[in-house]
Amino acid sequence: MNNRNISFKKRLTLNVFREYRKTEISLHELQYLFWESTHRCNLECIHCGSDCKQNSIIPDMPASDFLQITEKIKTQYNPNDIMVVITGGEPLMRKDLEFCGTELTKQGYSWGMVTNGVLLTKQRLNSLLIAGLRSITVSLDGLEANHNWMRNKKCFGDVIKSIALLIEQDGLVFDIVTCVNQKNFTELNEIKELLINMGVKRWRLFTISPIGRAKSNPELLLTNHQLMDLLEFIKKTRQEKQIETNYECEGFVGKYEMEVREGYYFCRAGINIASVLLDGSISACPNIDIRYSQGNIYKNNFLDIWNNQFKIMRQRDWMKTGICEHCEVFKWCEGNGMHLRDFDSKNVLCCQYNMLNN
Amino acid sequence: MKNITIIKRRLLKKVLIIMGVCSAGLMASCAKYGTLVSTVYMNLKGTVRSKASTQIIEGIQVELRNSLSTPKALTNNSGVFSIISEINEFDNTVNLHISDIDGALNGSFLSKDTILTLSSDEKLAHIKENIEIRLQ
Repeated sequence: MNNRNISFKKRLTLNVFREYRKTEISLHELQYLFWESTHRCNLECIHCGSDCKQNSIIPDMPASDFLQITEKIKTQYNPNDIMVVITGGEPLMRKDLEFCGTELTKQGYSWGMVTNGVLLTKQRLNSLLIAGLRSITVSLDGLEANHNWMRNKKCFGDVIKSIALLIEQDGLVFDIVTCVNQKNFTELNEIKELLINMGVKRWRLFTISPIGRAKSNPELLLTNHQLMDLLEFIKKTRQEKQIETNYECEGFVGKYEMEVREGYYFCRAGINIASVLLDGSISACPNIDIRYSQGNIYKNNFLDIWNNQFKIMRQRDWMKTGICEHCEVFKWCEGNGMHLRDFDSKNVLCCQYNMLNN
Repeated sequence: MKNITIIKRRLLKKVLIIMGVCSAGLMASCAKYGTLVSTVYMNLKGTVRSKASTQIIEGIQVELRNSLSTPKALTNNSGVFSIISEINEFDNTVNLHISDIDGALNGSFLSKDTILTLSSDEKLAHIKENIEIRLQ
């Protein structure tokens, strides 16, 4: 693959950005900590990367186990510099979510949560705000029929109600995420109008990775041409400035870099991002193959692991295999998102740059 | 060695911003399936003038005081300052401390504190411009 379609100015900036990235890797300051707090979920979404169920056989992690870790992290980091993101499963399935949030706030952390929005009532939102909730992300995967198809349940109305609640709320950062697939691809304009009319300010568009349940469902994955159309749509929507729209951190997108996101592509997994998974595993983003985990909070000291492990995510030359081996943009991309790196073959499962150039 | 890397990172950030990279694009903003970080980078730009003569003043120190950091900048020979800093997403105001640190050179002025209000549009655009400060 070549980089001829990337402008000279962009290539120049990418080279400077590469040097900047090296400093971030060298410093590897923890800035973003996921907590996979539960595998229980009120939905059974067809694209779920965690394969969560309503009655997960794996018990929730006790809040105290995670809070001990965040307390220890304070010995090295200012908690004000770290965002804790509670994820799942569906975090609202936890009855002690407010307790966890309150304790994190007392420790000095900002915290947020990712939710499907179905269980978010005004009362629950108020109690979460009292517990210090600062940021929330809600999923909306299409207009009614397609959202319900993706979520495997008639829940579109509940999500819309949740979004309306969040819009009314001051002092809370929130955004909507949409997983773009074959079905909702044609209704992106209508979704955009819906969000703008509701007063939503931020919208993040995802493409679905061939991992978890999505691996066996081709309806979820975009074609090469559709990916390009999606990026054009995001670029145009950003130019309209009616809603702040971003393509997620899925991968390097060549000439679309800086056109579809705030910054250049940079997978910060293991560099600024860590996670504590449900079984105690210490990883980076929760959707990375669990076999890439670097330790376990029940066996290891979290800070020891963060400071001394994670080498496979900080030195990514080993990713130069398969289609990455001779790719000219590897120096800027460094093998795409860590979550897209197959553990067995070590090859990349999906390359957006490749898709855009074929 | 670590300090050198920190300085190098700071310089590269500045270069990237000059090259057109939005400061928010240099943060670990939101990871895959994560939430937005509740801090935001702001660029504060303005001019310092003499209250009496309305002439611009060079060499005045403008210090941003907020809970995350206290970056400083000096006004240039056009009286213009520019500060780039991370602020709390929920802060709708920031405090600026303005002081004359070069003594009689460029005139003598009293220090001043001022509170700026940030609108949600300014925070979304990551910039507040045309800040006018008058010193006595």
